[in-house]
This record gives sequence, structure tokens and C-alpha cells, in this order.
Amino acid sequence: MTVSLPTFHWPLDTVLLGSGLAAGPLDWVLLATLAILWLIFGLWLLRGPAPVRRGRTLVLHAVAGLGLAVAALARDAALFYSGVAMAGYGTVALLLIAHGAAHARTAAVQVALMVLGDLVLFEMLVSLYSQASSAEFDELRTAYAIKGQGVSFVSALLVVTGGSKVAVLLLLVPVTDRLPAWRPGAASGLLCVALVSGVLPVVRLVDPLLSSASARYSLLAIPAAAIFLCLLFALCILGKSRLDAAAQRVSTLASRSVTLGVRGLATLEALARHVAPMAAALEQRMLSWPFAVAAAATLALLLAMTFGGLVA
Amino acid sequence: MIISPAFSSTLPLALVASSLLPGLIIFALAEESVRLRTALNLLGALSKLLLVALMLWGVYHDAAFETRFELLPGLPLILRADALSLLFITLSAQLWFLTTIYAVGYLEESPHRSRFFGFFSLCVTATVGVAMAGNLLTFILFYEMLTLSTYPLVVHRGTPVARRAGEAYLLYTVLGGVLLLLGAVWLYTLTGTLEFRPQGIVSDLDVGDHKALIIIFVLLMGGLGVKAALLPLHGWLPKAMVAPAPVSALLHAVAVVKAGAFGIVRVVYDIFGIQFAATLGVMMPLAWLASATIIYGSVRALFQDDLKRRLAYSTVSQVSYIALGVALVGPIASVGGLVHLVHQGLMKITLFFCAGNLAETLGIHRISEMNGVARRMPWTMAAFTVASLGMIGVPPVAGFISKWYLGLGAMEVGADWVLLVLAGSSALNALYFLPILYRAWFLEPEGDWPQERHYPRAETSLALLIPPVITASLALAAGLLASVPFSPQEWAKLVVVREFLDP
Repeated sequence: MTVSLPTFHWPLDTVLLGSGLAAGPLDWVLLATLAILWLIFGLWLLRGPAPVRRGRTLVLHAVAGLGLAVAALARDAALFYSGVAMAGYGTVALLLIAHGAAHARTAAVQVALMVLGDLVLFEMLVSLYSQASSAEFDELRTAYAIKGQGVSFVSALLVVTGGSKVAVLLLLVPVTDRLPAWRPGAASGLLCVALVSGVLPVVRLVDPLLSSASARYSLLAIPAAAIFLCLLFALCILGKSRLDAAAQRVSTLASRSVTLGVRGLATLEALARHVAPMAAALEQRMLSWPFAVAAAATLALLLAMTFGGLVA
Repeated sequence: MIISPAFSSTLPLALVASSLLPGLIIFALAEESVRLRTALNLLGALSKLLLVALMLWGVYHDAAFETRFELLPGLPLILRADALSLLFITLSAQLWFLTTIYAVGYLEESPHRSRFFGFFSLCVTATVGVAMAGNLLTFILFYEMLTLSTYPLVVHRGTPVARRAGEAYLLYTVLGGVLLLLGAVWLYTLTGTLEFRPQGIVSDLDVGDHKALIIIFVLLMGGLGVKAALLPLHGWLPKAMVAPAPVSALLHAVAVVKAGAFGIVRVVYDIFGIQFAATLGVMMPLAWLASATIIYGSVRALFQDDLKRRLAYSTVSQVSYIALGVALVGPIASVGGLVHLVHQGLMKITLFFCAGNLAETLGIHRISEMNGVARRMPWTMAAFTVASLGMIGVPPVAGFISKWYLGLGAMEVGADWVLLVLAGSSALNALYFLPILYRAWFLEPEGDWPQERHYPRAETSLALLIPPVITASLALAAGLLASVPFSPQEWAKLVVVREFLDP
């Protein structure tokens, strides 16, 4: 006996850029997986770490869950992007409620990864849309097939997007004591986010069946990018002294280059701090009458010269 | 659609009168006439909304609404409603109605309310005049009326700081007005007309006049750039933050900066003609300037602890998206710029309403005082959160739609570098908005609020609470339902088709 899963297509012409939801057999499997994982996540949230403010937790859980469902069933880039944003930010907020302010740094890193992933995803989708002239995934896939062959800009964007989204899952691993790890109960929620916003773009944009070499390479590259990004953020948090110490252990050359990099960042920061009051002072000076008179006189002179030149 | 000539010429006048007449009557009212003043304000705002709805329907069906008076020989005063003007008028009419409700609640116990609401109505009258101006002369008249009617609002509190801010505002805007007038006079000597026309009025001039046209363009942009807060003419805007919250909302979302940005669009489209302006080589420098302003405003916002100042620098950044969209010279980017005129208004007015609520209810003015404030004022902070996410460009809030079209438009014309500007701006927006949300929602309050007031029915007065909740919902709806007929996105597309593709 064979069981055939129903398919549906629900056009949403007035939503965002003109969208639609649809589900084929594989999408039902994905949706069921997400539903189970999300339910487990919800039970953990309600039973464990956040006994207070259950109302807010429930609302956020529903919003983020809706985002996951929308992203999983979306047939166009804009709706997918909306779903990813709702799911991602909603999940971070839930974890912050569950873990409290002690995990703020972890949440900040996660938000930074999300923002990075969203920005890169935006660039990639805009780039593909400009080729395809449509936000539909079927059209974008054709555009990807043209622009995303081999080591291309678009394929790099895809890997960075996926990597930054999957990296949120790695925050379950204690990378450093200054970046407290999420509790293991968060795994199912974070896995949902990583699946939908990290891996699903490959399915939607490269190959729905993941049978092509391009899709397989992307899927392999995404975890590598995730580990790299996670370590990068951890290194940033560890700060200059530990960075220097670690780099010295690796090799003198690496130590020198990294220290130079850190010094460069410190210089940039100092420059920014130095420039901020100067900019404020400049604005203050521009508000004075002498400045206005001088500006008006200069303008009059310029106009006179221009008129003179034109008449001549 | 058939409309009688008398009706079509009366409607623009009626639209101006719907705020002018209540304003003039309100000036004469005693301070104690609270009910009559409120009724007049709301009546004016509601009648304007009705008139705008009529005009929207008419213009959508290609009807013409125009009134002319001979002001000077060969220089008539023209009020005309077209698709572009209605984009701006609809925004200002909707937000005026909500700001009126908000201002009634905000100024409940403060003095000089008749003066305030009188100038408030004049300010909206001037905005409608700017939007419906059919030539540059009419535009300048209403543009200056806007300057003069907003000055008393900026200095309303009468404190030394407010007066200094008012001086700065006048200094900048009067100088801007001089530049605008200079450019207009020079233009008139070359063309013999100042009327706004699709594809502009200067494309037939000799090549020898092109140098002069470039200077005129710079003069006009200088004049308009003051109100649009383009770098380096933006200095008045953060100073003007001492004004009451409804005035800040008016300055940032409904009237002043929007009048500048709208003027840039009008001059580029209907004085120079967008294609001709591109051949003059003035559009790319405008795009660079707008991009620099976008990044500069965001960087400056990062350093502000005062909530309204942070929002002010955010406005400096966000309004330049409009100029950027137009300056990229492509239909898709133009949709992005035009739709942001509305979207930024909805999001920014929400933020200022919320800032006002925090100040009025809890005495909070600084971001560092906002720890845990969402527990005390969840609806206000929910509205603030939606608007902040929209500013960052998070879908499905309206800001995403603007950025999407701007990004696509940049790709369309080969200006890929704009994507980096958009990404940088979004990242900076996230950097200065998300920490506020974190403080408000996830940190514990630090003791008592600076000046807490209790209200029996809600977290604050309903007159203060309802407007931001509505504007936040509108910002969400403008993004989520962007493809609904008459949505800002669809209307912006209509403008571009009529002004750009099929003039």
C-alpha cells in the first residue's frame, strides 16, 4: 500500500511582492520534522528555565513557529526571507527569556550571526532577482544555475548565509567561558532555525533533491563556514590578550599578523572615538552666525565668479 | 471617470482649506476651549482624509484636479493633484489625524495650546501646499510657509535651549530658502516658466546653458537638502529635538524633512526630467552624497544616549534613501525611494510617539534609563520594536520593501556599490536599535522610574497609546500587504509608470 501525501498551492498575491505557499511530499516531511522539534523546544521552554512570563514565551514561540512554517512552505524569496527573520529573532528572544541576562553575550553573538546571515542572504537574493526578474524560487534557481557555477560570488554568499545560520547551533558548545553556551534543551529550537535558514536556501536555490555536485559542495562548505564564523566571534570576545597568547602559541608569524590586525582594529576604534566629538564640535560651529555669514559670502563669491564666467 | 471642471478645480482648494480654516479659528480660541479646539482639529483632519480619499480615487482613474490663480504676470499659483503629490498628501493626512490625537493627549496640561494647534494646522496646510504645488513658485511659497509655521512649534516650550534650537532651525532653513529662491529666479531667466511638467522644462535649452543648469541644480539641491537633512546641511535636525514629541513626529515623519525629500523628487522629475538630469551628470554625485549621509547619520546615531537624538540621526540617515532612490536613475530604484517616503514616515512617527510616551509617562529621555521598560509599557515597546525592526529592514515590516527595491534598482543600473551602502546601513541600524530592544525587554529595571505617572485604564493615556499602536500596525501592513491595490508600494509603482516610463 502506498501513501500519497497531499500537495497544495496557496497563492498570496497581495502579500509582500506577490507570494505563495505550497507543499509537495518532501515539504510535508520537512514540516513534520520541524513541528516535532518545535514542540519539544516549546515543552522545554515551558517546563524548565522560564517559569515566569509564560504569556510572552507562548506568543514568541507561536510567532517564531509561524515563521518556520512560512519559510518552509514559501515559494518565493521575499516570503521565505520574512519567515527566516521571524523564526531567527523569535528564537533568540525565547532563549534570552529562558537563560536570562547572564547569557546576553551569547545572544548578542547569535543576533550578530543572524544579522550577518540576513544581510548576505539579502544581497544574494537581490543579485539573483536582478537576473531572474522574479522572486519565485523556480526562476531564482535558473538564475543561480547561470551565476552560481563553480567558485562564484553568489555561491560564496550562499555558503556564508548558511554558515552564519548554522553557527547559531554551535553556540550549544562551550567555546569559551566568556561566551556561556545555551543549555542542551535549546538544541531542538536552534536545529529548526539552522535547518530552515541555513540549509533550506541550498534546497530552494540550488537543487531541490540535493543530487547535484554543486548542492553537495555547498552543504559541505556550510558547516565549515559555521565553525569558522563561530571561532571568529569567540576570538573577538576573548579579546586582544588571549588572542595574542593563542597566536604566539601557533607561530610567530601568525602572532605578528593577528596582533597587527587587533592593533588595527584598536586604532580604528580610537579613531572613531576621536572623530565623534570632532564631528559634534564641527556641527556646533556650523550653527553659528559667523559661519553662516562666511558661507553666504563664499557662496555669493562663487556665484559671482560663475556668472562672470558664463557671461564671458 | 468624469468629474465636472468646477469640482476638480475646487477640490485642491478645499484640501488646503480643510486645515487652514480650523487653524485660523483655533488661533482666536481661548485656552479653556478644549473641546471646541479638539473638535475643530479632528474635524479638519477627518475632512482632509475624506477629500484625499476622493482625490486618490480620481487620480487613479486619470482624473485631473487643478486650480490656478494669476499671482504675477506669467507666474500663476498652481495647485495640482497628481499621483506623486497624492503619495505625500495621503501620508501627511493620515499622520496628521493621528498626530492630532496624540498632541491632544500630550499637551493636556501645558500652556499656549491654541497657539500650538494653530501653527500645527498651518504647518499641515503648508505641507499639503508643497505637495500640490504645480510650479516652483507655488512650491517655494508653501515651502517658506512651512519654515515659518514650524519655527513657533520648535520653540514652543520657550526654554533657552528651545530658543537656541529654533535659531539654528531658522538659520539653516532661511539660508536654504535663499538658495532655492536664487536657483528658481535663475531658472526662470533661462526657461521663462517654472511649471512642473513630466520630463521637465529644461531639456530644450542650448548646450551652452548646461553649465548654468548644473549650478541651478546645485542651488536647488542646496535649498532642498537643508530640510531633507542631507550632509552637511543636517545640523539643525538633532538640535530641534528639544521640541515636544508631536512636533518631533511632525518634523521627522509628516512635514519638514519630507518636504525637502519630496522637493528633491519633484525638481529631478518635473523641472530637470530624470533622464536629462542624468545626462547633465548631476545624479551620480547626488547618489554619493545621499550614500554618505546614510552612513554618516547611522554612525552618529550610534554615539547618542539621548533617545530622541538617536532617532534624529537615524532620520538623517533614512531620509537620504529617498534621494538615493531617485538619484540612481532607474524605475525600480525610484519605486524604492518613493515608497520609502511613506514607509519611513510610518516607522519614524511610531518611534517618536513611543519616545514621547516614555518621556511623558516615566520621565525617560535616555537609552541608559530604559532597562526593563517593556514590562511597565509593553504596548508602547511592542510598537517601538516593530518600527525598529522595520528601520533595520527586517521583513515583513515596511522598511524591507524599500530596501528591496533600492537594492534591485541599484543592480538594474549597475551601481552594485549601493548594495554595500544598504548592507552597511542595515548593520548600523541593527547596532543602534537592537541594544535598545534588549534593554527594554530583557534587563531588570533599575529602581524607580525618573518621573512616573499612573493612568487608571492603561500603561499611559489612551490618546498617547493608540496612535503609535496604529502607526506600527500600518508599518507592518505596508510591508506585509505591499501588493494590495492602493498600498504605498503599488502607488509608488503608479507614480513611476506615469512620471518615468510613460510620462
